[in-house]
Amino acid sequence: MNNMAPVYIQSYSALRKTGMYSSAKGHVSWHEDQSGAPLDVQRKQVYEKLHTGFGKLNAPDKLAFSAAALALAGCNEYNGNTTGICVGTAYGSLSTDMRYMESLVNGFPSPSCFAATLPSSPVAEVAIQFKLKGPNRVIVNSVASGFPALESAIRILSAGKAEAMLTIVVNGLEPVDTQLPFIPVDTDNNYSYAFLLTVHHTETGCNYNLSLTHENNKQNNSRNRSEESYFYNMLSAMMENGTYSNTINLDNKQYTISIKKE
Amino acid sequence: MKRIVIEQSAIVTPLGSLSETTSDLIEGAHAISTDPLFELPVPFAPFPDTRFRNLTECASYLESQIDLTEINNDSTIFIYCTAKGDISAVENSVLTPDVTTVISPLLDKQADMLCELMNIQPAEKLVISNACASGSVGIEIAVELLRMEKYTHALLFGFDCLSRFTASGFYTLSALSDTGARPFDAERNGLTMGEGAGIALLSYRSAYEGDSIVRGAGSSNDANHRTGPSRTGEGLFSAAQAALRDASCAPESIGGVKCHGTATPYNDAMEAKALTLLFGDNYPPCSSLKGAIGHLSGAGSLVEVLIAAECCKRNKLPPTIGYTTHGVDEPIPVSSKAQSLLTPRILCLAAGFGGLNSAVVVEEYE
Amino acid sequence: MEQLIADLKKQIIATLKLSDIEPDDIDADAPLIGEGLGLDSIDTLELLVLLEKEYGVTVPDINAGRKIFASIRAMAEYIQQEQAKE
Repeated sequence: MNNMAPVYIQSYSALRKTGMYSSAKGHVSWHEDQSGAPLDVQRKQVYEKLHTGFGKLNAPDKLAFSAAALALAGCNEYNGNTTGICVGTAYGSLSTDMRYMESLVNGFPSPSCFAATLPSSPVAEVAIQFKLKGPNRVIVNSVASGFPALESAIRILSAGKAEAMLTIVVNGLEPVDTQLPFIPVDTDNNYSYAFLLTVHHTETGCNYNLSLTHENNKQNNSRNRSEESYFYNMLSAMMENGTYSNTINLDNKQYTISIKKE
Repeated sequence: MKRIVIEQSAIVTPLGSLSETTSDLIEGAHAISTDPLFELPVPFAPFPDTRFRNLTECASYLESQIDLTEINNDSTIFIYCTAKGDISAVENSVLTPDVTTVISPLLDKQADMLCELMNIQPAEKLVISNACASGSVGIEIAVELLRMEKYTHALLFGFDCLSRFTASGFYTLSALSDTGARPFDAERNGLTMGEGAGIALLSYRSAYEGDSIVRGAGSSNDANHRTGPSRTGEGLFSAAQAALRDASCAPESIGGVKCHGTATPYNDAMEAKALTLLFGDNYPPCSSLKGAIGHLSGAGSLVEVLIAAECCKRNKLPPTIGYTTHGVDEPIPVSSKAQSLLTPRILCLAAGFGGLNSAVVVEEYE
Repeated sequence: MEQLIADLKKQIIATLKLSDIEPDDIDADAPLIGEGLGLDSIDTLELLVLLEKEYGVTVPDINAGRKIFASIRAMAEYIQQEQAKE
């Protein structure tokens, strides 16, 4: 069933509580005064160019943008016109939604806050800054959105709809004043990962061969580990020796992933 | 030759069911109301029966309109396409904290709830939230997976309703017309918000004459501005080209265009340029439904595609309500009257906040 | 006028959460939208909210807004003009 063209990871990055990671710069720790990391990431830490709009980005957009910037710094051998974006987001813009409602109730609804109340808003920010004009998809899932986003990106590449895909997985929840029902109040588990995938080899990229498929398994509903913990394992393995393979059970699916140095 | 077939479909809009909505649209009816809503002094296109301004009500109604008993759960994927989904939890927790909220604000939990309500256990569930292009991108994904034969059926569900949250937000962005949406008109000054939901069961099989087909789909990004479209139309043109390529058909074979046509000054100007890049000066008839039923946000790009498929069967493109004087530089053939299709094949365009462009080609199989 | 301009620079940076920029970096006569400070149309709408909230001043329509937001000095002049009416 899997007769698809090979796909390569050219560069990758992550922002999480324990620091910033990228194929370009390895592991970089947060400053001592960045106790709110990764939400209080500074523009200078992830992106060289001036970006006056960085400070107003909400959590998902800021984390997605930062991961994108770090990943793209690792390999620039892509054509923006034929590069698309896949985003997997856990909670969408939920905390921004709350902030907007609060601004509405306070009598001064905020236009820029409202403009960011879409799960797809990270795509806009990344596409605009890096001029990525290819296809884009936003998958929302509070348990596992990153693996579906990677699969979608692989399918787009295999179908020849793009030559490169930037895949971002993000969990961005800011502390809000009003308690929201149904969701765990865990605004301390924010993260983002980005992977630049291509169908071609590059000179400066990692050229790690990526294979990812899944089988649907309705009986299996184990939630022992978070999706992020698997992404962190994958990133660590890539940083160490460029190889990772695992069978992962998440959200009623069994994923088989293999990353190999070419 | 196998095709992506729309086996069954149903919608609920302020004009009613798929059949009712399509007939009304072709006859020139509209659902725009100037009754104030959410204390905002602008028109909306609301459900006459506000019971439908609710995810569970829409789902129950749509489920009753189609027959899901034959589908094989193990080879079916469910795709929930929405820009905001049900946001009653967000609204209630700030506006009326004492009210118990029953619907989770998490879109994947809403998808779970929908499947339970409709009594299906699909092998996979996916939530696509691509702003106003959500439905269109959901269709593109379904087409991809069905052609790979990963699944035999894809069940698409689109939903976006009016709410204080979105209405106040668009009002704050100065995006809403105070006179009603007038797509491509010289006096247009903004969009009119609408609401609706749709469901469609897609399969991949040999098609028969009269089947509704999704021939192809494609998407792109303007990479320009947080909410405004690119001024050149290149992004939407690129999505339309990608859809035609995916559909293996040339621009000359398109019988009509179901435009995005939100009636904002910038969208319509951009879209006219995109259409000119695609068709040169050889345009098929063009129409926007948003002067009649408003902008249905993410659900709109599913609902409008289903209406377009129905229009292919009737060989008619609905009039563009609100259009009287041509208001874009390019002579795209929009009309205040219904137009006959050149062929039973319609190109459907959608463009969302953040420059998300998407296009789908539907036809009646001959 | 100069104090108002100085205040506006700080308020704009705070409201729009502009990073990489200090009040001294902003030229009071430079364009705000597009070039110069590079604000977009949504930032403009946010500035309308700022005018109302901090100075009690409203703008009749978006088109008038374009002239008022031509520069910080233009904003300051509009505020003083409107406040003088009260």
